[in-house]
Amino acid sequence: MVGGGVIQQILRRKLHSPSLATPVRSWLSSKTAHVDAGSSGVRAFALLGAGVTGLLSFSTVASADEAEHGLACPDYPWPHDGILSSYDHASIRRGHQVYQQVCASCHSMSLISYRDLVGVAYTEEEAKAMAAEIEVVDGPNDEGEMFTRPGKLSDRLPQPYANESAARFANGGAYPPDLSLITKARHNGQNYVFALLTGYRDPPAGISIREGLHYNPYFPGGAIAMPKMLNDEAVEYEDGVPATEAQMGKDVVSFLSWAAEPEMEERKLMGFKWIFLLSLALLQAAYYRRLKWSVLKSRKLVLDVVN
Amino acid sequence: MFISFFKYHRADEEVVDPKKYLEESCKPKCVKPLLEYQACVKRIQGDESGHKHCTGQYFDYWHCIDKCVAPKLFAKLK
Repeated sequence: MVGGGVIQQILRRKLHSPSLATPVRSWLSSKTAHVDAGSSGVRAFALLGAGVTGLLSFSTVASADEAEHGLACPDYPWPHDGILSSYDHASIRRGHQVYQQVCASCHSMSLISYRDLVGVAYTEEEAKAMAAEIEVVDGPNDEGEMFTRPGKLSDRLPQPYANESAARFANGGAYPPDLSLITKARHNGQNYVFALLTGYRDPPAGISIREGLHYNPYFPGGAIAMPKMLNDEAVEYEDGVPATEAQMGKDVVSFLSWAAEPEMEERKLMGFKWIFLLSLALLQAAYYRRLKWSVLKSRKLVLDVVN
Repeated sequence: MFISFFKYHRADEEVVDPKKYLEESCKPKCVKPLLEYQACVKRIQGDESGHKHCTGQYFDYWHCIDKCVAPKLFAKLK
């Protein structure tokens, strides 16, 4: 914005120089200079206004920006980050437990089925048993009626609310988003979700959050409807790992990362294999091209001059 | 290996959240932004308008802490 103001001043001088002998001024003082008369007067006034508003808007935008965008989250060294690194499946299993016990009361994950968990976090028997614990509406039956039955592997994970309106009504107007793709649906998703879940803090001096919202510096705007959900030992892990806030955050984000990108491991293997093979193919193609062109590139031309 | 597994959780002991612990231990590294924040708090103490706030200094401090904590945290987690 400051640069824009400077450009306006340069333009103004260029416009005025043919018609008037403009004395040399600093660009600061020319900001408050009087408008010149004649046809160039309106133009000059417009440029002056643009320059001034540009300078002013710069100062206000800078201060509103920070809370608006939220505190930038740091990059955590996720175990599945490397070019050939797989998910920590024990972490996915724990993360699913956290989701089920802490998050599922408000957040749906309607794109994941119980069968997706088989071989990733649970055995088939375990997944079947988990599915059987829920009631699913099915039908119509032969009499034309809808009925409920225990869940099967092919069923999706249960939704806490019937629809978005019900979800908003139960949460003060705020909609707890579906988490199936959340780590892909937010910029720097994995780090953002972890920072958000473990980042509930007291607001800075001068900031007050209204009743019903909570302060979280990572959330754009700073006021989030979700309260702090991860508290030490909120969950008792099956494998005995101490369930600290950070541990639960890591596990649940591993689970959410898998949920959003279940194909990641296969993708990395495929990528590594094909980039390697195509590099060999590139070398072969380069050699073959140079081989074929060597005929032309090594020819000699003789210039026969006729006097 | 068995002992380190239980480093943060012995049967009758409270679990210590490693993130909180690291944030505390990173405080000395981030004294400058912390002092800036505290100076800001003092500056706006008497403010009645409700427009003054220390978000900038707060963010600078926590950004410093986060940068310090992030590389070390996962080593303490399973």
